[in-house]
Amino acid sequence: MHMADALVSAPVAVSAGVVAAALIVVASKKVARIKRDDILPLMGVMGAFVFAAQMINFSIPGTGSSGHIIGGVLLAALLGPWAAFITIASVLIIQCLIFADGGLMALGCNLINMGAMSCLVAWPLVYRPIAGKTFRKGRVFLASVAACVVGLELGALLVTGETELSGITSLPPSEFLLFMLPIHLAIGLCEGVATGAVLCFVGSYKPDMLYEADHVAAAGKSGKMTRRTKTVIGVFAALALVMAVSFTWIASSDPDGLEWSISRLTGSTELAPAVTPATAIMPDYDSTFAGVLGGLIVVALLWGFCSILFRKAQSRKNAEKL
Amino acid sequence: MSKLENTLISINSLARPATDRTDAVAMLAVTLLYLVAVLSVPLYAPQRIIWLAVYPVVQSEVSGIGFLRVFLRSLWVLPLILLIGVFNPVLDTQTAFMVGGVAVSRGWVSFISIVLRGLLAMQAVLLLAMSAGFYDMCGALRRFGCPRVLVTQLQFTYRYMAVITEEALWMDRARKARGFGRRNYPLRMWGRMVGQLLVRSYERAARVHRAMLARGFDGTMPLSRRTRMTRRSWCFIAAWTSVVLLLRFADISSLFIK
Amino acid sequence: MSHHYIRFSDVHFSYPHGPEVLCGVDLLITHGEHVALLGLNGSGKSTLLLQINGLLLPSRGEVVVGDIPVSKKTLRLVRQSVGMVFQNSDDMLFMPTIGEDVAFGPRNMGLPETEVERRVGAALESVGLAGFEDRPAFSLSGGQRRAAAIASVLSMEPDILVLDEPSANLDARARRQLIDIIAGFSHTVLLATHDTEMALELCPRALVMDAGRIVADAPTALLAASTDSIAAGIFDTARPAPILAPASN
Repeated sequence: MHMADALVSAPVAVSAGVVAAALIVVASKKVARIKRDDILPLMGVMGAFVFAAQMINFSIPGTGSSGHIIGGVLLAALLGPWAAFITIASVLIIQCLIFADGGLMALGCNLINMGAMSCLVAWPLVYRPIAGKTFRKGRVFLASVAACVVGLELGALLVTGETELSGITSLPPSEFLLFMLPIHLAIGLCEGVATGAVLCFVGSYKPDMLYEADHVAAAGKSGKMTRRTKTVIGVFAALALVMAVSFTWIASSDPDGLEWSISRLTGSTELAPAVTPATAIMPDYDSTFAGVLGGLIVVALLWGFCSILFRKAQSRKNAEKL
Repeated sequence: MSKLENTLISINSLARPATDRTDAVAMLAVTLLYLVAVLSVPLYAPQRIIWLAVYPVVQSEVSGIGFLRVFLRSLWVLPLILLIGVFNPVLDTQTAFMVGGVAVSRGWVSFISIVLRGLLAMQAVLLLAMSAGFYDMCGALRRFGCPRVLVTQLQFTYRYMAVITEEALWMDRARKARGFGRRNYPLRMWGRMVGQLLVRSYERAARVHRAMLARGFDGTMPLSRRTRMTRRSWCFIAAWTSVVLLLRFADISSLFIK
Repeated sequence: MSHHYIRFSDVHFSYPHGPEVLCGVDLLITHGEHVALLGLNGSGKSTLLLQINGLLLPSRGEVVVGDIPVSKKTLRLVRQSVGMVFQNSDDMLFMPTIGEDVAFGPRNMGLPETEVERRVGAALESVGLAGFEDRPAFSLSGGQRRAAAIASVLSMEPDILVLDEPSANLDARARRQLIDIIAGFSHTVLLATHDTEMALELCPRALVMDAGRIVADAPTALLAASTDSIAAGIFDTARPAPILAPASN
């Protein structure tokens, strides 16, 4: 679900970046007001944990494939929404800056799709009302699954929106959604089950690790939530979940959905003919083609030139060191 | 799980840059500018994107990393891009131009564009990751006005990534030794193992907190020294900014093709 | 200058919802003494150490460090005079570079930057890590990390040095360097360890803990020769003497 730079246009990337930056500023302020004074080391180590846990795969029964957690809902259940958002943001930023996983310009999009949706939307609106205040395994499990599915479906929705707004794909939004939502329903279910499994383990082994609102000074709003608001939010969340599930179920029950829509759009399911390599030495048919080819040649020459020039300098430097 | 092992190695090697250090602030600024330049080229003009390859090619050689290394690693981004881009040739069959008697559709042109921008953007980010150390980049972020909480968080997470990954590796090896060759975990077992790792991480956080308290920590991290911009970094920024802007706005292809 | 003593009077402590870990500890360590704290696993050594700079506060009784009773109000003062080195060096080196780790304490004390720099240089010098300021923690070996962890405490110029298992997981050479570092510290040292040879070398006096109590307070050499069952367990002298090889000394 990491979006690459290639899939966003500059305006979309920049505006998503602005939104994500605003969220980070707000979250930083909220975190600074959290009362527990071990929050900084805790968030830091938890970020490292999520990073490591993402590399341990579980097998998905019956499919032969495997999955790993993303961790947004899990973190929110342990640290609360804002601290979880900062933590997941740090994981995404490190993945981007160190492993070039997910683009730098697309980072804003990724922070919103993968961080904000699970920590700031799915957790308070879905997880919390379902899980309740006291720890009970069944409810925590259900809440995890529901929250992860909602979070991922919302993220998929946003990925679609961002890609479409960028004008990168010619795939119309509705078809793109039919493509994205079922995949992310499956991912969400796996993520949810995994998150539930970990939270149940934690809840029975070391329950004080689970997030309590008392830690947060600024929790006035959520702390004073009346029963009615809670019910309303719960109903809303359940509705959203039902809609997301049924929509994707309809989509996936029609396996030819995508092909059908493609054939309807293009009149055929065959791919358009590919570019055959030009036999002419330097065709002057069109400036586009010539431009690409010419550019490639010039860049290749430049590369050769630079590598000869600077590699020599480098080896001379190394020789001096020795 | 060789992934855990590989990651452990690369985390440690990337803390400090392998080569002659380029100032992280300058590198980050140029990378951002470059990405905006690449991503703002219209989709149906791949001949204009290709010229922007000058930056990754030249900079990777100048910094001694070597373009081949950057290029090969940038291929990792292709599957994702192909997944999205592959629909364009299917859906957009309008003819853009003819090459040797074969019609090339607009879909293929935009597809090439997507692949090019994907590779170039990836190369620029890789170049940033490989030539500026992570901690220097944290300093650069701080300079760009990034909130302190986030910078502290990044440093903490980065510091303990290797430690926790190593712990995960030990647990994984302990399981492997008794695991009869199974690669992945059944979910129940996975839940217990990751839960265990989580509890251990939590306890480590408590110990780190204790060590901090013992040295007078009162809730706010003391600021470390900021990186200073040298004249060299200003020159670096100025040079690449002008080159990138030139490549972006001047239609260089038209110089060659009348 | 003789204010740097540690006094425990009838200290009791239990973790929330847990059994009592310290059951009435009395001890006095005077200035400049090097004292070893011995005891089997789970005897309460680490818990006792955490009382000294108020990371845990006694549920009953009083801890006094250099004329200051340890309480919530005096934590800042106490923590400036007690330097605590924990078991795991990775837990103590949480900053990007060794230099910043060593500067963490002095900066928290609010010292001016020039003084911070001087102390960082001096502390690293004293543990043999001069010039390591810009190195990240994971580029150091286990022994160097232990030394850096000690430097991060020495930079606060404490009057009392408290160490928990300092020689664990060190090879012989790193252990030797560690012993030299501790021996060079002229103020009070309290050292919890299983490494009885190191205790014999560094600490003339030893306290033995068992089940949350101090059961022996005697010269270390005397304890090593003792046939008491607890001391024998700690010094591992309970095993039968070799039958074939005659004792050489």
